[in-house]
Amino acid sequence: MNLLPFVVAGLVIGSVYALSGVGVLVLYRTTGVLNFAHGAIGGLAAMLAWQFIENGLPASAAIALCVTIGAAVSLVFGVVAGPYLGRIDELRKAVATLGFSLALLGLMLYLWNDKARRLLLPTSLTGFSVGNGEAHARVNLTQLICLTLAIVVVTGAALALRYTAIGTAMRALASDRELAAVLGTSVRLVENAAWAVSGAIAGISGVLVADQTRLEPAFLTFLVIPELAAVVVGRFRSLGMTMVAGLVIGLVQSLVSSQPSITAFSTAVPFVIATVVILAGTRRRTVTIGVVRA
Amino acid sequence: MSPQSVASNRTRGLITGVALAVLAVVLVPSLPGIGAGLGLRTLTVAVIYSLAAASAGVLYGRLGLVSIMQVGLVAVGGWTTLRLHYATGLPFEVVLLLAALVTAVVGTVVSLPALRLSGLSLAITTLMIAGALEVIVRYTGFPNGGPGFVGRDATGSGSTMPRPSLGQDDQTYFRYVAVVVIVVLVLLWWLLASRPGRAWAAIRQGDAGAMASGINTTAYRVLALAVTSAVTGVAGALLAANSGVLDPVSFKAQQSVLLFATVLIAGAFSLAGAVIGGLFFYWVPQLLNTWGVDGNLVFVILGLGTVQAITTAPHGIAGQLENLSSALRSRTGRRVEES
Amino acid sequence: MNRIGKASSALMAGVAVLALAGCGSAADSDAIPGASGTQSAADLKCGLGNGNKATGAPIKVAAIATESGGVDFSSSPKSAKAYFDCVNDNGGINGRPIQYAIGDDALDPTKTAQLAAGYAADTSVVAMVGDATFVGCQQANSEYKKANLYSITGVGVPQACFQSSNIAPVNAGPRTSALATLQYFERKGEASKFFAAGLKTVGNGDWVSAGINAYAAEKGIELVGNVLSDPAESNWLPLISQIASSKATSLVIADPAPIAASILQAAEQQDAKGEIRWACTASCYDAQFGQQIGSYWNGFIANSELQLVNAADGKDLNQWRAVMAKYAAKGAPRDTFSQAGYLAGKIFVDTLLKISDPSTINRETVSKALVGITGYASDLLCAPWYYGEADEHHANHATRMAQVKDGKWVSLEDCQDVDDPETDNIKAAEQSQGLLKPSA
Repeated sequence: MNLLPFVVAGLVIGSVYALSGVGVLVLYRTTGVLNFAHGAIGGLAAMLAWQFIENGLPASAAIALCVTIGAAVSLVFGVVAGPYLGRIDELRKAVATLGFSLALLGLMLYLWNDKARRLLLPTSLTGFSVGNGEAHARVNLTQLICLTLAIVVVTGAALALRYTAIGTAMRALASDRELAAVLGTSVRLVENAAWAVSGAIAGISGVLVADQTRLEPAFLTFLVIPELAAVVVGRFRSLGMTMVAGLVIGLVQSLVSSQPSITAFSTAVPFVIATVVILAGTRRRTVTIGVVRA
Repeated sequence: MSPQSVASNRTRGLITGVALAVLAVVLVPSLPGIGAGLGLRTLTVAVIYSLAAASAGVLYGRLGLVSIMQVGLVAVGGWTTLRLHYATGLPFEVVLLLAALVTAVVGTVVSLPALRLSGLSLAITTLMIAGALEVIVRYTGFPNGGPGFVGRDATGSGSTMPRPSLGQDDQTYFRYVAVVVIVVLVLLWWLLASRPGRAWAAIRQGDAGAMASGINTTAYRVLALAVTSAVTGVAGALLAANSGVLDPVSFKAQQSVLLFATVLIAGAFSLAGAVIGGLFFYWVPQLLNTWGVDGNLVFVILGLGTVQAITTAPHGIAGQLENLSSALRSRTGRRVEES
Repeated sequence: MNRIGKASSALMAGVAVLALAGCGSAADSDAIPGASGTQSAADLKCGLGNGNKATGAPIKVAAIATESGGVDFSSSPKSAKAYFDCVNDNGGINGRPIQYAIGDDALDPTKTAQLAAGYAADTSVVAMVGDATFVGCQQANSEYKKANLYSITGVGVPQACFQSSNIAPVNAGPRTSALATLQYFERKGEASKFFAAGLKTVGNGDWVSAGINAYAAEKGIELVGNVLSDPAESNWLPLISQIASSKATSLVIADPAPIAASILQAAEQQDAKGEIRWACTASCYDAQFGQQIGSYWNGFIANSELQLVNAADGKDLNQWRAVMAKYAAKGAPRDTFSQAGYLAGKIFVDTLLKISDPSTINRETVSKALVGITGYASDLLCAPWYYGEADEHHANHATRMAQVKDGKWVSLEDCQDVDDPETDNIKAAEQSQGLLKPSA
């Protein structure tokens, strides 16, 4: 069997998981909010992109607009709910975003009917073959964009966290919020920046994944599960590990689905990988002392 | 307040709650409008789901564990009930207890890996489990008297499980469900008020402290998962008996998220909150729908309600009602004792 | 409401406005693309057609439809409502207007059962008409049976909707639709190697796939694939590579339209169309689907369970279009489900009009009349529709084929009866009980 197409597809989906995972991570490290609504924000951006393209907007403009909207929706939630979220523990912060994702999902189902629609980016029609003979696969431009974007964003985020002022501030917030505030970091500003950046990443991931898989609100909303699995594997800390985890999850999922006997279980792959990592991780620690910021 | 007065307050709360519940059981089926048909059937399911809400509420409110897979466990309970009914033909009450047991085992085993972790990992893991359970029941379907382990007859001539002999028609089945739910909630209350409840409270304050005071945190966490899963299994059994058949579509991961949201809106810290949570999960959407609110917008309302509850009203509606009732008590001067 | 509540509603309102602005000029769904029929004022003479508003005691009728939760089948009850409004403007049921209630089951069978129990308990509800639920037929039927209530369902999808004593759908269902597609290819000599793709859903996808298996075995058709995917599948490559390596000559996708569209998109990205004849069940026969899949899929085939929405003149077809234009909301879909809801309504009204004394209309008389329907002919159908007392109802088993030409559906083949081993009994009963002949 020719596995090359599965490797390509797995890496592409994996790169979107990685991209989204990085978006979730940046927000989590800065604000302590693990955003369950990340998938829903991406879904909203993708549905709007479809709508704008239907209404005659050029694809590039529609995508740019939707990434902006993704950033805006995320930012507005951050600005409105942020001050309250700052006072509660991490668990409740995460649960609040769960509520937000339900609201966004309901809104999408309300605004768009259940008819067939697809988001076909012009770049998906330009492609080339890799490999030869039996072992070949078609790769299109969108897929290359997915991979490149994931690498660029992860590297960019890592560099920005290290070398820019706002990045340093984000790292400061992540390690000690109160101390950072005392030392003069504008907590609100940094947090809002994180919300906007993560929203923009959600928006672009949503558009890309809708092109590569399916354009349906509930499907896109629940893609947050494999994305979070990548974050879990990255231990809620490491950008690099999250990226690798996303790629591995996508790749394994695709390879599992290539085998007819086990293809049914491909949707369980993120769960299995995350569980194994969690188990392996707990063996090293005996007591977990949670720091609760009440 | 002295410990005795806290305890007596608790007991008073229990007595008031049970009295109100019994009153509802007696009165509701004879009320015009909601005492029959759609209204009563909706209330029956809402009361059933208050058990699932209670189990999510106890886990979150008492132990600080977020479990977003309760609707999946309801499916496990329902599946076991139907399977055991067709396999053994035992009376429903026996099947219900066995289903609770099986659900307790399943619920504990699947969440065991994440047990020693921070709350966030458990939240993510249980959401993934909810997704996995959704896939599994979609593959197997629910037993309808067919052959094999899965017990599903695919020719379309499957049968339905009869209701328990004590609750044949809609009115008596509502009473039957309500009595079972009251019994289970009282048992839960008793558990929370005794040694396990105190141990759970200590664990919520922090693992290190609990361990220092000699509590076996892992054992008590496992106990909590087993108890709450069993309670959810009872809900599954009651739901299966309600219409005699179940459909995988009812048990999507999305529903588990929604249930957890309603628990937070209603209040996770008291069992009264659980009952209100059940109503929010099943009865309020139906009510809004009858008033002409689009079903999808009900999602939006519940989602935003969760955000609001989490950020500004951590004790939910039940907490606000409690405040209200104590305010009323002090105003009418019927305080039992000065504190 | 506190500050955060206000602010979050402001946020949602903002998002809604944004999105609605986007939706503003969406494709006009009230225009039927390529419709060629002529319309006249006579089309709006519904029921008695006397132009007088019905003012008597209302007759209560209800429907259960999946409207929210990700699937929207409400176009069936919506068109039934439009038709009833038209009937009420034209003398009603011998002077009595129809009062129509629609319940949304939100894609939850538990809710379907509740709604069914509710309507069954309200004895003033005389019948269920134009239902369209994706789930819960079995649950609903057990409630109807207890209460002697009957349903003329607009759209039934899972197996249970066709194997119920008190539910009779107007549509043909996914299994018939998939078999119709297979038999179309068989007639054209293109089914030497056939491939079927569907969803692994209990009581639905498995039922369709079993039908394909049974028929292929009976006729000695080589089935090179009969694959069921997970409804949450994100990666269609395995399916596409299976199709490519199967060397199939023709294939049917028996999935909901959004999934079918994403499979086609993945196939297009792999340029995997090949020499295979691609087709889909009736779920894809929808204007938006034809327009969405793009020029790569020109010639894509789908089955249609009723007359094509844009076909030339037909008495009922024209009336449906006219009623939708006058009585339905501007955005209400004009699709097969809408035709089915209209037809369910019309069958119901025509049957009730035969009860000469309208004051005797109650659940008992209506149930008797509905079960007695035989040989109901309509240009929307291929063969007469009937109810009859039976444990299964599957009157519509003859369908049409259509294909996409430049983004629009055009007719490919007119009515053909569909051969399904499972409906042999039903067809024998049609003949032995004279169900295809109109009753006196």
